[in-house]
Amino acid sequence: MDVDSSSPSKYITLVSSDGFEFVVMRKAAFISPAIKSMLDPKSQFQEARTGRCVFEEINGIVLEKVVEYFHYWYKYQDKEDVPDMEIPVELCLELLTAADYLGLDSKERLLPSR
Amino acid sequence: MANCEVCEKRFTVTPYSRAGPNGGLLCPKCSKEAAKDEDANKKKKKRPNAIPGGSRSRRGVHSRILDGTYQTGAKPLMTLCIETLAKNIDLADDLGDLPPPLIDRISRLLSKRRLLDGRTLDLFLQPDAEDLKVYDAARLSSDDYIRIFQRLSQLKTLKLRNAIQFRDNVMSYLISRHITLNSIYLHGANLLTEDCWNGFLKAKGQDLKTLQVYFTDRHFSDNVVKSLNENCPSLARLKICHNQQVSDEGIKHIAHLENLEHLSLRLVKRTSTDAYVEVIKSIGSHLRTFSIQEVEDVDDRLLDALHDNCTSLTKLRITASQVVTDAGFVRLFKDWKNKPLNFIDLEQCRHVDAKNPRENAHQVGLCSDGFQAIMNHSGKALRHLNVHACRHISREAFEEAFSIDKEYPELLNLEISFCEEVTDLIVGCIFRSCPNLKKLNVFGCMKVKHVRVPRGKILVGLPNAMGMVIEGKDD
Repeated sequence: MDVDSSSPSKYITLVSSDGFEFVVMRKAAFISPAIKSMLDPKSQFQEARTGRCVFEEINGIVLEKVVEYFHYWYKYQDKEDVPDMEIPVELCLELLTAADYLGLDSKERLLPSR
Repeated sequence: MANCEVCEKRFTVTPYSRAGPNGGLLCPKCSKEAAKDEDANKKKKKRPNAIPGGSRSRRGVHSRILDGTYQTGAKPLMTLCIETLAKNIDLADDLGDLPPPLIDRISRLLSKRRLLDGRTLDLFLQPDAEDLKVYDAARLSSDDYIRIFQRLSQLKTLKLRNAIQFRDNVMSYLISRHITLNSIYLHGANLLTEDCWNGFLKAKGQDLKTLQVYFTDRHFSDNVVKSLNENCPSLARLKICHNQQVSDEGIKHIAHLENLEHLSLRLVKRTSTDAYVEVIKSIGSHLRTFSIQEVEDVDDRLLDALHDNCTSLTKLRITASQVVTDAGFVRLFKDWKNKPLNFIDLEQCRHVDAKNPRENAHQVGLCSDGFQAIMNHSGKALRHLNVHACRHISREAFEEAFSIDKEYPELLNLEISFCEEVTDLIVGCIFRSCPNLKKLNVFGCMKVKHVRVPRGKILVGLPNAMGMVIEGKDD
């Protein structure tokens, strides 16, 4: 996937440690400051050129949940009274570590930038 | 007699026998099952209708607004995970090596749900931990506290709320261990005796930088405060709240704590201005926090002392004084050498007279001029401002302070409840002048009626049933 820096693709690919690939909307994945900085065109990271992020620490099952969260967040970003997303109990700790790694905590950063 | 339609057993037919799905009859056992299924179906059908848009969601939203946890959009993934974890904490054996801020958030949530007991406490007792913060220790026993000191030999910061069973034997155990605490925060430990406090400060006071005690009843006395001077030379933060024993005499001893930077007092005994003035004159120049609550008798002399001595304050709180005057506040904030403050709380500094509540000939309390002086001095840096019940701030003063050419970029929280003159226009002006405002409280502002609240901001306490109306579309 070769991406021209002037018009980056609407989608990016996230790859888990065990090789599963998830294609996600760029806008949705950008709530994670970590992914956002990886894909910053100014950064000259390989990820920024290819639109492909490999996470060696996150396995497929957890990454799938993370991707689900990205879309859940995107869908509800401006809504009030949002239903909670189900978190499987057995994934809880791993997901927590992943969320910490991806920086999915601060409320300020999650607010839509308008 | 007939054969059952489902299980084909023979049974006695009675008037209560149920009809099966194909028109035959069912035996008592099978009818019971059928009845169960029907009930389950009914429940399933009812539930989904009840939740969306119903009163529960509206109530839930309001409850979260008052809790301060309200936000638009989805919850952060971290919050979702922590909530799930707290719900299922009985399944967890070990939290693994999560970073400390996360552990702290888990501890907070567990405490909120009152789930922190002897068993769940173990999750937080990592042998190399330097901090332990338990926000609700009400279910812990003396033995649990002792276990904390057995396991955590590196402990530096200890915070325990509702630590009722933190008794003398726990404290003596702590004294006997090689633990050097930098910071101790004890809330509700009202069974600790004065002797024990003295013993602790004598043994462990050398390294203590922070001492915060809440609800210690009669045991944390003037004498204990006096001994701080000797025993805790490096004390930088002192907070004594809801204390029934410390009086003017104790406050005067605080004046000798030369390294003190943060001082917060909320004493039950009546205190006088002189004691506070003495403190400010002695150590005011390097105080960064000065907070005194429920001080009915404190007058303008304290404000003048603050003006003359303090240069590094960032947080100032004086509440419920019925004697300070507007002129005093003007003198304090006008040409004050102190840099702009981040936090000002002057709740209930107002004139009280049941007969003529609106007359205030001597301009007692925070009034218009004082308010403007505050905004002129500290407006640029203010993050939290509380003028709750300062009823004599006029409409003109608010309009002037939040006029179109004024901007307060740092202001996050503004509390103007029970300021009678606040109108729709003023609330609108506030939203315009404070672009980063998160929350505005307007309880008891009866002239506020129909305000449109910009997205991302919260207006609490409107005097109507509608609540706040957010500007803009949903999508």
